[in-house]
Amino acid sequence: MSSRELAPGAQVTQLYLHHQNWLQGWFAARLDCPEQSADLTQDVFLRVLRRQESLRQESLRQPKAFLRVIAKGLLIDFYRRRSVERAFLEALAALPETYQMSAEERQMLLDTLDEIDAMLDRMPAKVRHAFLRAQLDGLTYVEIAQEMEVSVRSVKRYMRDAYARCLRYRLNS
Amino acid sequence: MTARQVVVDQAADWLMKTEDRSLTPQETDELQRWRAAHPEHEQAWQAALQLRGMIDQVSTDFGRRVLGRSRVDRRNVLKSLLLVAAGYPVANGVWNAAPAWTADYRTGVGEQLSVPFVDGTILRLNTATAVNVVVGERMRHVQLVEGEILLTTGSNAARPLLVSTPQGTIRPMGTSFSVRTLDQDRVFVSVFEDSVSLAPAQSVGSVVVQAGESVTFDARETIVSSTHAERSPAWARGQLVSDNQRLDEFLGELQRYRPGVLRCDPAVADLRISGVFQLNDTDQILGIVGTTLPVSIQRITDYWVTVSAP
Repeated sequence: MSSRELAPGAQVTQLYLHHQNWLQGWFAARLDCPEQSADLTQDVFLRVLRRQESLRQESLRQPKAFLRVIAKGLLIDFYRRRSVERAFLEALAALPETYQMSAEERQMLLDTLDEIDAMLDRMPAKVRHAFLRAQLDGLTYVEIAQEMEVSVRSVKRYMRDAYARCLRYRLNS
Repeated sequence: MTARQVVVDQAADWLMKTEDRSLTPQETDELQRWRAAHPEHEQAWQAALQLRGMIDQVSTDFGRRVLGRSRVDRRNVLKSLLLVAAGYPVANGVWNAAPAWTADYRTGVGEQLSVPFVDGTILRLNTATAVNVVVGERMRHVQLVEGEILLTTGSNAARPLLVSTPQGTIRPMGTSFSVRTLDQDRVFVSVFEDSVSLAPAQSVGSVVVQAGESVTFDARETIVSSTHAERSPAWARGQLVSDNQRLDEFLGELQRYRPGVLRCDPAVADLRISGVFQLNDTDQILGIVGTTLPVSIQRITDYWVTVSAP
């Protein structure tokens, strides 16, 4: 089969037909709850559809490698999201302020936390540390610099990098 | 650098400026002009405001507990997943490379937790520890993801128990023993009653470790062995015990029970310390260090303490 003559939408369809079973198996082998495999497989192809312009010929020549890259990212985020949920539940249990929250408010807060977390997770450790110290603990750049034993200039660079990464993530999603 | 990256960096700069202080009238004008100059600028600025709004929604408590939780680097998660994908025979396939944050039981820095099983087995978690417990038909698996545990098996343990780490498995033979991950490569096992059988992931055979022995091993082999006369680890009694220990090593141990950073100036690193300290108050331990040794304890913040020459 040559995918060259096919329109991008049809290419994705071909990709889906030929590889969905394999991909579902790939997920099942890596998940402790295999019921999630079908959902994650769908998500991979949704992502491929959304980024059709990035479907290059070489990725179609190596379709499994191409799909695996996307699948890995989704798998990491699946586990990350679960750890966010777990930490969130623990926080709910521990913090008295949450008694007044409605179910919708909780869901909104969880979604917000999850989205911020996805950005933080992609930052280098130092950048993330500086960002959290500034945003959560309200430390000044000077205090962060002392704590991390780096120059204030470096802290500013970390912060700028953190913001730029967050913005890029939001603009791309 | 692409045009898009430049725009994003500019938006990031503006966001930092507005957080730092209120803008001067000139700066406000400048920001308005920048936003109006191109639709992409405005789009980036709207994303910046949304980001600001999202962060503002999160209270400090929630943020610390959720966003500030200890996390595995994304690249390492990938690596551990790849390891499984390649069919690498880690610990005879018992280890499924579950990252620390999917653990069934977990303690934060300075916390301990005791988990009793139905058959009388008790699993104790020391500070900053994560384990998964899988109860199968014929066997129970305790996967130590990170940190340190003490297992005391019940007298009539119905199902055999297996402790697995990425470096290898430990099979108890009716016993009490502790397991600690030292770093990425090494695991420390200390036996207090009876014996355990230890199987490094990449070796064919196994080694028996008797009560009163401690060993450090990696995925291939046993690296160091030593003896001790303890009936249980000091941490399980809430203590930190040192006997003529180097100060940097002592502070390294203390660090495990304290959030933040505890630094030891190399100038005082080889001072020696002995004593039995209570882990429930690490500030007090630092106070004792400060009064018994010729050192000065500097607190830059609660989370950043340096022990240096006076």
